[in-house]
Formats: sequence, structure tokens, C-alpha cells
Amino acid sequence: MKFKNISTQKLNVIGIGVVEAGQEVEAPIGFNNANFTPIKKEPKEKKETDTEKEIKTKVETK
Amino acid sequence: MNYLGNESYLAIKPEATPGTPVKPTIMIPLVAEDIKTVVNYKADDRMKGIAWKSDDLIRGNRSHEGSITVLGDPDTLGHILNMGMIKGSSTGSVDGYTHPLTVGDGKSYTFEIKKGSYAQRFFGVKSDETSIEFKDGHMEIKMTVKATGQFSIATVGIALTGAGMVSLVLDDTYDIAPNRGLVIGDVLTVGGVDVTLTGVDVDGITVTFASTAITASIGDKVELKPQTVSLGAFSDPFYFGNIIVGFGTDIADAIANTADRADAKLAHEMKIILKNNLLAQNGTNRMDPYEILPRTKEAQLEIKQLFKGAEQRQAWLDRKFQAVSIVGLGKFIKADFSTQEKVTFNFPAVKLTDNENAIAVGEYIIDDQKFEVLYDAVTAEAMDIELINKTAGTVY
Repeated sequence: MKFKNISTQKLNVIGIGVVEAGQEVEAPIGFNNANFTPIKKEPKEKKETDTEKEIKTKVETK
Repeated sequence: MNYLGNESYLAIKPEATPGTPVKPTIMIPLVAEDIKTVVNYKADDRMKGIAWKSDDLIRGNRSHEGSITVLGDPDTLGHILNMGMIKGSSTGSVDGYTHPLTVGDGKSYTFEIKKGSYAQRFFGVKSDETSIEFKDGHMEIKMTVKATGQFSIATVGIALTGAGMVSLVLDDTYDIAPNRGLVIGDVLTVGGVDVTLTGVDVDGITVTFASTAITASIGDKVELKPQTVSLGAFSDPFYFGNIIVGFGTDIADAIANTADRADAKLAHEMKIILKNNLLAQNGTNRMDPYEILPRTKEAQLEIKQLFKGAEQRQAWLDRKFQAVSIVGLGKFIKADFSTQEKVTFNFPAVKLTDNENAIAVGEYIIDDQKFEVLYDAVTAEAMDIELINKTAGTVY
């Protein structure tokens, strides 16, 4: 899981190494540090279903 | 599994509201720590038809007190002083921040200390006595503290039964508000599963978290999970060799005598003791101290010099006012070497309470001086401190 250094300083983190302020890093399982916040994964773009495509095409041809 | 003390940490943070815990983010390497929760258990020795003292324990009022020992680097020293004095408006930039400190009530902090598999959090922590001394040539600070509460281990009050758990009710045997000390974002380990708190309920017993599968029985332990250690860049502690001690008839004279090493006094050993004489007030409302209040403040100086003349003995016998300025210099912060880490302790009025000139075979005679720091009517203060370091004032 990715975490971001939300402090204003460069931190030397056990198990990760030096992390600059604002830098995002992959952290090991069980990582817990108040200077870091987990990065939420962006939701994947929704794929259009065949039916949705058909409707879209019909609207465009009209 | 065994745990080595070296794996521990001290994490601290000033509290926005005194006594209201925060999740500490500033990690400081510890030298030693012995803060204890004093539960004041007493054998229940009521007559119960048995020829034995007691068959159970009953509780008394609790207190939380002890000491931490850390090295006196300029940034850590800032937090130590911020707990015992009032920090005025800080000035400066990343090229060096200047923090003025005067006599007054310092800030309340939250401390968190890793104790093996769990973390112990103390909140409402205030500085009772700070002893700044120089061991092996560097500044070492021992600070005794008192706190208004702790959280470390709790107990499951209502069983967690598997999938979709979103809250935990803690048992009330230790305290009727067992979730006191926790904050949103804390990680608890329960039933072998870590949960990150999304809420700490005002009912005092419930904490909430995102839906998680946990199985735990009533009576199972709940641990505050220790944080992964993260350390900022630490400067060296102030070195005794870079301390300059100026004596004078008044504080301006003493400060002037720190400007040139030729005018400064050569100290052999030195200790600065600052006391807040805290009162931990137990009473109604809580088993823990309801509040911690500073009483009259005081300070002492202990300085040992090689005996060169009887001036200090005369000053002691005559109870003569003296002024002392102690300056500690550290590394340069600004790239052009114009600003450096620096701490200045100014004591405008001190008097000797003890002056000993002990003699030992083969040794130089020592001028062993103990000073009481007094309130100075001219400057209308007993002491002030100025600290220059790399930490922005907002951090304090």
C-alpha cells in the first residue's frame, strides 16, 4: 500500500529509508505512522456495456 | 518474544487543548524513560471470615508520573523548554528560527512510548522538573513529568463475532471511560487484526472503524499499536566545550562577559534545574488527575570551577546579588555561516546558597557553587531563554 509523507520534513523511516516531505512510498504491511497518510486508489474508469454503447450510437445517429 | 529497549521510541506533540490527546508525530531518540501509571491498589482487608489479610485488591486514585532522559539537541531542547515556559512569537526562517521563552505555564503534550508489542500513550503531560546537565561533554536533559491519563492496553467488553465488525466496546474495569486517550487514526490490535479508528465515541466505551472481519471474545486484550519509527534530521546536542558562562554585576554585564571567551568563567561542571512544582489534582470527575497545575516556579544553578580566588566565598557570605548568562553554541544553520544554533539562559539575579572549597590530596581545590535563581526587581523577571534552531515556531 502507498503512503504519503504529510509532514513538512524529510524523514528517515525504519523499513523504508529516507522519505522527502510530500513523497509517496510503498510501505510494508503493518506500517503505522502519524506522519504518513494512505493513498487511496483512483477508482477505475467504468467500461461501457454493449447496451450503453448501442444507446449512445442511436442518440448520435438521431 | 523478547523486546529490546533500543527498538522503542518517544513520540511527542503539543496538545491544542491541554489534556485532550493528539496522535504524536515528533519522534525523539530516548536515553531512558520511567513514566509509570500509579494505580494505588490496596489489599481489601475487610473482615470476610478468613484468617488471611485479603482476598482481593481495591483501587485508589491514579497518577501518571516519571521521567524521560534525552540528549539536549537544539530542536529537542525547544520542546522541553516549551513544556516548562511560555514561548513568545517565534521569528526567522529555515535559515534559523528564534524562539523567546519567559517564565510561565508551558504547553501540555501527548507522549507515546513503545513498550515492546504495544504503545503507551500519556496525555496532558506537563513538565515538573527539568534538569539540564552535561555528561561526557554533551547536554543531557532529565525531565520529570506528570500526566492526566494514559492508554495502552484495554479489554474487549462485547465480543466481536466475525465479518462486518464496525465498532468495539471496551471493558470498564480499568476506567468507566476506557476509550479516553484514543484519537481518530489510532491503530488498535484486537483479535490479531489491526483496525484504524474512524471514531472515538463520546460514550467513553465505544470506538468505530471501517467494516472488518474480527473474532474476539469478551476479556481479550486490545493493544494500541506502536508506530513505525520515523526520525527527522537531528542536530548534535549542545557540547559543554561550546558553552560560555558569563558572570556580572547585572545581566547586561553578564551578557557582555559571554561575548569574549577571555571574559567568561571557566566552568568544570554545570547543571541548570528548572522547577514547576506541579500539583496533580485528584478528586471528583475522574480516577485520574482531573487537572495538573503549576505552583510557584523556581530554578537553581550548580557550577563547579577550579578555585582561583575567594570572590565567590565573599559573595556567598555577604549574600551578594550576581547575574549569570549562559550561552550554548551549535552548528551554523544559514549557508553563509551568519546564523547558528544557540541557546541563551539569562538569570539577572542569583545568590549563592552553598559554596564549598573541599580539599583532597593531589587534587586542585574546587569552587563548588550552588545558586538560587531569584526574581529581579530591575528587569521584572527571574529568568529568560532565547533559543535559535531549525524548528519553526508553529511546531511548538
